[in-house]
Amino acid sequence: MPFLSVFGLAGIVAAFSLLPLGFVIWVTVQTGWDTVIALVFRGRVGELLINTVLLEVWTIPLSIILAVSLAWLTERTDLPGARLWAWLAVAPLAVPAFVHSYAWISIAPSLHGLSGGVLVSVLAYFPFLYLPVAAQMRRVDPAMEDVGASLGLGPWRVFFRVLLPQLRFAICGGSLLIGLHLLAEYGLFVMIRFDTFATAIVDQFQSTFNGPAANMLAGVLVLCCAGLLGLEVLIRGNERYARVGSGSARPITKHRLGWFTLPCLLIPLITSALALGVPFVTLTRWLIAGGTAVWNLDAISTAFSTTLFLAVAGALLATVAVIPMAWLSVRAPGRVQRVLEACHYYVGSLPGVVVALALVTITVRVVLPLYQTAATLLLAYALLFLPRALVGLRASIAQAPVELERAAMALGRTPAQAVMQITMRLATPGAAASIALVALGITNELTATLMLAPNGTRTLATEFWALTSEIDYAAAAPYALMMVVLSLPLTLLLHAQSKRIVGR
Amino acid sequence: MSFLDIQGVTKRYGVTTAVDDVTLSIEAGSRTAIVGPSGSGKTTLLRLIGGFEAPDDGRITLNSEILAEGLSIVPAHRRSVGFVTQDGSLFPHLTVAANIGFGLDKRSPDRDRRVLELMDMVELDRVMLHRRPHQLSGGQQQRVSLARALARQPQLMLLDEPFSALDTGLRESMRKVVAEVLKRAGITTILVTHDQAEALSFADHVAVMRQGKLVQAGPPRTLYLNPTDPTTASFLGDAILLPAELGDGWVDCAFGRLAAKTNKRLGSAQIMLRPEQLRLVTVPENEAVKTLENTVRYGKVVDIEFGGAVCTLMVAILDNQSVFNGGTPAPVQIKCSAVNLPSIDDHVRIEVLGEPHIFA
Repeated sequence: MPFLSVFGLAGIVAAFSLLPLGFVIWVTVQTGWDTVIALVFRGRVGELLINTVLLEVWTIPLSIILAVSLAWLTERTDLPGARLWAWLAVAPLAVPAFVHSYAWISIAPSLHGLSGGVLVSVLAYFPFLYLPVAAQMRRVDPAMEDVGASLGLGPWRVFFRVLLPQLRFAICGGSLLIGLHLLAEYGLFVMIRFDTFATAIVDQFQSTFNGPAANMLAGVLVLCCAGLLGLEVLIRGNERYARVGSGSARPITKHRLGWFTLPCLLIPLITSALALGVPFVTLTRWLIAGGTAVWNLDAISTAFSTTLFLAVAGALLATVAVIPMAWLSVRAPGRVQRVLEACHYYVGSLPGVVVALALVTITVRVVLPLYQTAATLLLAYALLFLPRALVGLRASIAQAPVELERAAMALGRTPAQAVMQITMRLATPGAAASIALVALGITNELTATLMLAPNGTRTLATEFWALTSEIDYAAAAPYALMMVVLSLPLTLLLHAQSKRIVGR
Repeated sequence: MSFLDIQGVTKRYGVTTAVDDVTLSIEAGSRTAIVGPSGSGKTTLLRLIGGFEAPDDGRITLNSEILAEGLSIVPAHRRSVGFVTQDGSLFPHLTVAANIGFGLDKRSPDRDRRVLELMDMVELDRVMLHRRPHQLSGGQQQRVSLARALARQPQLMLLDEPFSALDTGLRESMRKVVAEVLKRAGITTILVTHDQAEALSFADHVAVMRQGKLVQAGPPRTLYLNPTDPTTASFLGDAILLPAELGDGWVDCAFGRLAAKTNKRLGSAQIMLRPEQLRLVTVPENEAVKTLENTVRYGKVVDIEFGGAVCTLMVAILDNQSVFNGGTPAPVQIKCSAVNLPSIDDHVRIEVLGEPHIFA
């Protein structure tokens, strides 16, 4: 039974992905009830909780409004340069969140606290909403809007009663992603001087290393993530929003903006100026101010190659790890498989600090030789980006119909040969794309890298972080530039991929 | 002035002219089918009538109200026009009841009653009321779509290939239901389709479009029996196109001399016969070979495609007088029923029912 061995492999990966959660539960039990209560129900945790809630309730609605307006303008109107604006609406993803805040505090040093955090978060994360919303807008059958109009609805009411409800899935998914990023992000909020659980945990970790206080904060943070996931399920519901019926959709008729063209152009223009112009101007300014002195080529090339190595190795590890699960969920879906798959997915919604804290504790207490090694760091990367790898690989395996495998077997190949020669061959481009996306994530990962990297390991992100912590902004600029340059092609890939999903 | 007047309407997309100077009038309470091959501009014409597009030129008036005059148009939501699309376009986020009631005022007290009334009207079971569109079959979705469009009691109903996504059997029964419902409601209807049989059976007025132009409009029977050109003839059904020599009240063609209204025309012309106008009678071979007169034609069956109710035969006409075609003429395709079906190599007498149509 070849299935069983595949099951076994998927089970092992699922077990690994349960490590962080297991750690939180174990540590809670270890700490003892009284201490837990003392550590959790205190003013500091309350403050952090209020901060987190405020951050989420400001950032997410603002991002939704911005992303939906931009998506509507670029996909459904005759806005001049719509394709360019669409690219520019995705491009901020190429700038790591902590580089966004670095750019903003260089330009406005007084920026801090909730308002600053919300501003930079919206600019750094709104593309996570723009991508799915724009994709969905391309998919919604334009005949629906015609029908809405024929039933007596003006353009505005058609938008709110017909189009917007059909974006619900996309908006929920994108909002969840942003919400989880807000919980996990460390660098952005440290620079903008806004305290969240992630910054508090790293502070605790750096002062008391592996104390119960940090562990309990991690526990509360995991609960926040769970709350967010539950909320999303609740809001999304389990309705089907797919296009009903068959037949090919008519191409979309673009709304004429007419006199509104100029005011409407201001929206993407201002957004791009804030989300791309500010980082660009700041980086250029620091690079010019720093001159050639900041280009310490040895340090930069070491950091660059280390980053590249870690990114590629981590991405390969993550992709190899999800092969059994991806194959199972496409070829042999079932109840057990869904549970295993859920294990693969949940771990990606955990903040890097929690995963890092778990791995630090486990290596220190159980397998000390692995503490602060590249292996542990790569494991952390693989866990953090497991869902990203799985989504990409599963979609590409699904593109190779099982009939092809059967045809290969009918032509004399063994099942294993058929999978390798046909399915995996066809899945290669998709798998390569998902490797690239995981690598992008690793390149810009800061928190887990700071906590787990072996002594002396310098990546672009950690080096950038070290230099900005010393307020040497000019010296940090080349590292920021390298990260953006590395991320840019991958971001373009992401955009292209989101278009291909809807068949364009 | 008729109920719906389309005058010289033109719509261009870049260099292609989708609708080219179309003029068409539609009477109140009538059922009109606009039929044409894909890309003929029929859907664009429908969208112009619905107000989803603005014409580049021309005028559309409904019940003496100008809906479109050149680029200035009354937008779709201010027209009293219902619209049913190919796959129903039900709102996937709403239940059947909410879909049907979508165009009704939410505060209206008899909204629920009206929704039920509409469901009964389109013969939709009331248990469907709280289902979602994806839980319905294709035919049920189309019924909901029709009920939704009827809710606002439109003056004009536009049907954009509403049956083409359905199975063959269901398609016919849906066509009957829709025709019946609209007739009872007394709503003027325009159906767009590429299926000529559907157009001929659904409508009391058919308009044929080709390459953006309106080729011919009229009652289905007229169009079928007296098409303006061979392309239209072939589009509306199988046609046997033949060269002929016209005489006074008759034509000479491969089927011999046939009575026809020649209207004093003389000389050669192209004529058309529908395959069902030909009847085959099996005869002994010697009769066929011996009695080759000018008024009766004999033939030899060279191929049979058995198809149950409608079988297709290829018949080589025995034509030793060679009225027009020198050499062996190409076999003619003839349809007949399975009753008394000849066999291959049988000799048959070909009888022509009715008159041939002479193209101008």
